[in-house]
Amino acid sequence: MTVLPGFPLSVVLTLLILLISVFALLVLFVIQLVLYFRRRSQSRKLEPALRAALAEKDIRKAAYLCERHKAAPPALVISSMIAHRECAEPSALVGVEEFKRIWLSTAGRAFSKSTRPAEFAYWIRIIVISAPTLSLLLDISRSLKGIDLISGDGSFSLYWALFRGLPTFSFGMFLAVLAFALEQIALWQTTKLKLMSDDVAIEFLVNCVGKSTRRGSTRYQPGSWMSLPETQRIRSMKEVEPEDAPDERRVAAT
Amino acid sequence: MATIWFAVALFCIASALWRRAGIRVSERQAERLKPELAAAIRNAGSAEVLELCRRYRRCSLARIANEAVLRTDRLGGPAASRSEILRIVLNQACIREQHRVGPVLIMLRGVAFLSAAIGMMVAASNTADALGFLNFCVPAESWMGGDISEALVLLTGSLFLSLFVSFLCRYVQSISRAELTRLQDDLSTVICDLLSRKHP
Repeated sequence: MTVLPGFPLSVVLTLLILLISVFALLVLFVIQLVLYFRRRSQSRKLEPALRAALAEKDIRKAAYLCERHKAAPPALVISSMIAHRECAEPSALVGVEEFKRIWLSTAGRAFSKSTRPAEFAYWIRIIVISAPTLSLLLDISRSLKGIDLISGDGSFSLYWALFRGLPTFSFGMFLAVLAFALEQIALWQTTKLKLMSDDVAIEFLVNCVGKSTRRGSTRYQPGSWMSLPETQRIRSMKEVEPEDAPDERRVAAT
Repeated sequence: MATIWFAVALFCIASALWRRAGIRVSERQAERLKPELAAAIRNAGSAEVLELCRRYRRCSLARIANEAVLRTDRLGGPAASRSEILRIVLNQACIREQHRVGPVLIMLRGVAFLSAAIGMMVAASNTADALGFLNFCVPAESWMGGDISEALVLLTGSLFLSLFVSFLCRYVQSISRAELTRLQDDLSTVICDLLSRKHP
């Protein structure tokens, strides 16, 4: 079946597939670049602050930081671990296992999104290699039908098929090289971010779940005792105390 | 082109041998380090253990132990949860160690794929070029046969290089896997030592 004069349907379809692949590769490259730089800049801001907060065991600050830098990969993992901390198991071992489960599942979910461009690039690579190859083989088989192999009559159609198919094949290979490069870059960047995120999650586990035997003294903050839950409870009890209640100290003195 | 392929093949062999030599050195140092590390973890403080790890810094076991001691210095709580956290920390350090081989593997995998793809691409364009000369000029005077022959030689060379580098890649993967198995064995001993530490 011929669509254009001298160009069968398979060749036209292959050209169309290659053009779509070029467009898809460009879009994937831009998406990967934008996402990576966004995540990396957020992670660079978040990581040192989060490590410091976890070292001080300041969970509120860690939660605030995760909320502030939502786009950073560790933020998602740490915020779900902090959310789970409120309803943590009383048994330490079960608690650790539960935290580990949450960490792995959240990280898996977060990073499966990051590896999507690499997966797309892989499929594009397969398509841009196989489509021109199949088209070329089909074209050669069609052109071989009219050739007398002994005298060589009608071999022009074979040369024409090769001349038409080989540049397409070559272009497909070039696109495959680009897709491979994109896939490797995306995988490498994701692995780098995942390692960093796992590091921070382990820091959380070590600092906040593994109870320290040598607790470091917390930095003095003026007025912070006012916000302690015990102090607040005592103050509220004093406020609801009736005016005419007998003063025990006065009674004792009389 | 043959010179380039040859240079690339030599570079890949050198990378694989470098990796193998690194693993051998690490293995040899680990044999010497293991008893010293066990004694240091059980009887000495963190500073001594870190100093010992610094002395054997070319050994992967020392690097992992160093990270574990640094991270779990203040770790407390029941032994079961402590052991679990230690295992997590050591596994992560082990993964990090495995990522040290990552660049070599990525490079080998890249060369294996790219040499085949680039070889096919160049051979296809050269052949198409030769056929174009035949189609649009005088067939009797064209050098088509010679051009196509050269293109096929190039294709064969690049496919051979790709195959060879794929084998090298498999080899590096297999020696890295063997090292990982050895490390995991050693790590269980390190976990036991860290759990029975006198000076936490």
